[in-house]
Amino acid sequence: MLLDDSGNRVSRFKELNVSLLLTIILMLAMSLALVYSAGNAREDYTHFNKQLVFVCVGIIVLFGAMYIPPRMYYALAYLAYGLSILLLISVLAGGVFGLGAKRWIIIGGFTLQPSEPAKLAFVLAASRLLSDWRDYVGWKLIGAFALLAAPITLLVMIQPDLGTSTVFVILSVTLLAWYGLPIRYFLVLFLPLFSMLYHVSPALIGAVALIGLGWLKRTGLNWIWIICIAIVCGFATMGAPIAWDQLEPYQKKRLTTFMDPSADPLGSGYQVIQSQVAIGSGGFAGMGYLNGAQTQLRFLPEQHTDFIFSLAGEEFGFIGTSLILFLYSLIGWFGFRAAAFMKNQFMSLVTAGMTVMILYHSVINIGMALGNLPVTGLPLPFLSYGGSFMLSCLCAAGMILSASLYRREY
Amino acid sequence: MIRTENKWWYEYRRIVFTAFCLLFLLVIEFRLFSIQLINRPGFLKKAEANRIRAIAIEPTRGKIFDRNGLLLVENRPAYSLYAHPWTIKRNLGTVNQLARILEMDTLEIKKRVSRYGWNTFQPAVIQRDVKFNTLAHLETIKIGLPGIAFGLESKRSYPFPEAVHVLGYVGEIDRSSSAKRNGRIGLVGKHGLELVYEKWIGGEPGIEYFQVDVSGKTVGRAEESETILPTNGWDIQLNIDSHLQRLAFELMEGKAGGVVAIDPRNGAVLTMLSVPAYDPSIFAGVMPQKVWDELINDPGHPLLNRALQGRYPPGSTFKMAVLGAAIEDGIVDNSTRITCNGGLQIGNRFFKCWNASGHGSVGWKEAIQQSCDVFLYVNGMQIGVDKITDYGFRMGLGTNTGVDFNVEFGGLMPNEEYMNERFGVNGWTRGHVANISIGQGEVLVTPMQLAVHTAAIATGNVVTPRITNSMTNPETGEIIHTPFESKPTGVPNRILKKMREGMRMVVNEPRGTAYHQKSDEFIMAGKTGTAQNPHGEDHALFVAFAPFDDPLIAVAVVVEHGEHGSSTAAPIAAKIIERYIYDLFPGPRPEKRRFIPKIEEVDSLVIG
Repeated sequence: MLLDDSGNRVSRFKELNVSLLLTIILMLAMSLALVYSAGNAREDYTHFNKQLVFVCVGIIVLFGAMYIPPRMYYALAYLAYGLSILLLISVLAGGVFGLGAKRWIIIGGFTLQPSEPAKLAFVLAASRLLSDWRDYVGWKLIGAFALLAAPITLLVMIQPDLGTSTVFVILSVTLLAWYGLPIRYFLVLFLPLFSMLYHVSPALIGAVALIGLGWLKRTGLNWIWIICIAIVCGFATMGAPIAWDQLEPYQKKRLTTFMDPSADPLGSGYQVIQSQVAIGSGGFAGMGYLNGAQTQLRFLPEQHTDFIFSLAGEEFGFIGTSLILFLYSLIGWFGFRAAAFMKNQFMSLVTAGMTVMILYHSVINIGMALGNLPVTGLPLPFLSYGGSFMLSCLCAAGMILSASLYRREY
Repeated sequence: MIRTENKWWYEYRRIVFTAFCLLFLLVIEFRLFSIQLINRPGFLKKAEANRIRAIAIEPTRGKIFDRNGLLLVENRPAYSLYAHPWTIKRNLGTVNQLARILEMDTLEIKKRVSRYGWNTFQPAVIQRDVKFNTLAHLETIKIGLPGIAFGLESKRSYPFPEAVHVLGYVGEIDRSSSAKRNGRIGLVGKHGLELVYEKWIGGEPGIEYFQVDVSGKTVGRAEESETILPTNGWDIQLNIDSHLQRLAFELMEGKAGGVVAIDPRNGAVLTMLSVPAYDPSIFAGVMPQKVWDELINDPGHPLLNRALQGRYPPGSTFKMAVLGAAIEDGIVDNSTRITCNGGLQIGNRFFKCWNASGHGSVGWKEAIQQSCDVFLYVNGMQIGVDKITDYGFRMGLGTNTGVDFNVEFGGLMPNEEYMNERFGVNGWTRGHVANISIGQGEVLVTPMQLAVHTAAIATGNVVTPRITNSMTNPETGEIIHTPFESKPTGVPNRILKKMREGMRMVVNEPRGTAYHQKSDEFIMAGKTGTAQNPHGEDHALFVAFAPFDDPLIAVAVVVEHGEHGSSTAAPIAAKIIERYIYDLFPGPRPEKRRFIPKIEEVDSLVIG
């Protein structure tokens, strides 16, 4: 039974965030249009047909996820996490190879990319862990959180799928931040990691490290600790080149190509250049639907998945791309609003985490399409072709909508 | 530890998170603004470069005719096999299949495919003029061979192989020039007239714009760019008379050397022959490396155009110039007589005359007629090397003739400066000068120079030889004539007359070294020469012009290792002149000989 502030019975649907729902439905329609255009280019509409199925199933998932009450999510959080870990292990044990990595498993004729639902499971489990610790802040919490985050991140990383593993790192940071972890903890955790980039820009990283250490001193940490952290940073600085050697060649290539796309105009640099050309030639109003030369003559690679934004950029121009950005900012706006107004702390964390997940993917993917970020292979939420990701995103959206439906419940 | 900063954070975390996300999206929006709105033209250009291929439409190469309008070079259709590197790179199986069908090396095919790089859409020629059987085979299995295509193009055909050295050959456009010429895939002149007149016969290629997809497959014409039609090459008419050229070729069969015949009045090159020759058709397509290696390693040097590049000592054919210098210098006049005893002691060396028994008392006439070396030794040493070579130079020797051809050896007239440089100021003696006086030693000339020199004696003008007569625009019929050029030698007429008289006596007076070539129909003036050379037997030379009173043709013949100018070279020159004057000269036939000398029985002199 749902009661309003004055204690009257009200319908849950009054609480439903219709704008967010419409935003997502609109994006799904755009996705179908864009995947169709990509199919038109190669006169092969199987992707479109499959995407149509994914969208239909996804909408059911969306509504399903919306109606599940927070306590159910809370109850299922660790189970989902455990299942995800098992799936990720089974990928490594008997997965399907693709793009130089094992990322998929085949279940009953369907290919599943377990790292996609793992993102959701991780948000649920991490949120449960944090909400269970409620008002506690300290290294024990960090330790417990790390025990949860490390396995899932590493399992994805060794597939290897560096791009997706960054999602878990970002989710960890944002969930901890949303929880309210003070800045000094982040500094202690991330200064050494940050130091690994020392060789990219010594002056900048050096300055940031010094300021960080200064901040730590100000918050009352004693000198012994600060010196220890500084030493760890030093080791990280020296260890970075060794870590670099551990990267897969294709990962190194992506990172170096990101620094200078023209250095490898035929490998991954080629993709980025073609993507930029597609977006750039779109202009203000675009070349017109099914009329983009880069897309329709297939110069744009991976146009139904990783570079679907570039397809939109070419055929719908600045208007189209701005609309997409506006829709994402709406998701951010509504998502964080729902998270902030949620009385249930677990659900608040879940909602914030899901919103961050969606936005992080979109920023990284668009940054990649524009040539500003490395080619990580993260797809564009609600738009890119792909079943696992589409369902995960719609499930995430369902949870955000669920937060508004159940915002008064503890 | 219980957290303390909660309150503030719970209030504002939503704003911080939202602002953070909006900031990122805003940065992206700015970036989009820059890419899509500000820098769009640049990206549009790149997109066009991606999808639009300019394919050259090959112009038809001009034909080449001889002076009588006979076809020397024409075009014939041929099929070429092309490969698209971009596609082949992704279907390397095609290479292996092609290697099997074409019986070529896989590496060789890969080299050809990647001629313009592996990542280009520029089709590269794998084989030109594909055999019909191969063509039919490939056509049936083409679907299984992505990235190959056929092109119909015109190929050069040389129905007149006697003129290979004149016509030259064509070859593939090399990469640097193809970039300049809009991705042309046809043939361009590489040597000879094909190269010299490339601007005229080559024509200008047209351009057709196609739209291609990422695999390089053409998906249609690019409507926004208009096709530029090619301009066909101009036809060229030569001064070469193919009958005369063929005659010279037949006469020189089995020999090595050069024959040049020019019209002394204007410099029109009637014949320019170099033997041994090569088969011009091997240059029509892609030449296998093996064939090329064989050609350049051939001891007969068939690629060398001996008429223009041959470096021969002129031997006695140089005597007119030396005598001219001596007469102008006042050292020799009609009364000058020298006794030849078969040689001359100069320093500690005895310089022989070719006639070991001696010519007895010799004046300038006999010096030419009987080719007495002693007369030349004595007078040549007196006037000195500078005056000798200056005279040769003025009369067309030892300098580029300026013929319309791409290669020419300038010859060598060694003056004092040259001798000082070569041997040191005190390193050379009068003996060297004596040697130069009879056209030996450092002096080097080409057959073309000798022909020009002979014409200069005949007319008093140094002509610039012209192989081409005119260019004709095949569409408009417009004709542009190649201008003739000549400049006076500055040699006084009295001296020219003496030279001509000496040369007349060579052929027409008993004891003349080429008396056996005397014709009853017209008077030919000539000079034999025998050039010692370090490579073996002497070279045989003969220069001549005719008719004596109104010269219509000047000929120079060099037969390598032909031993004696009179026996080997002179008959060839005589037959060429005879044929020209009797059969081929386009104007009214010249009168019968006006000057009839007393006919005496003479020894048949087989000397140089």
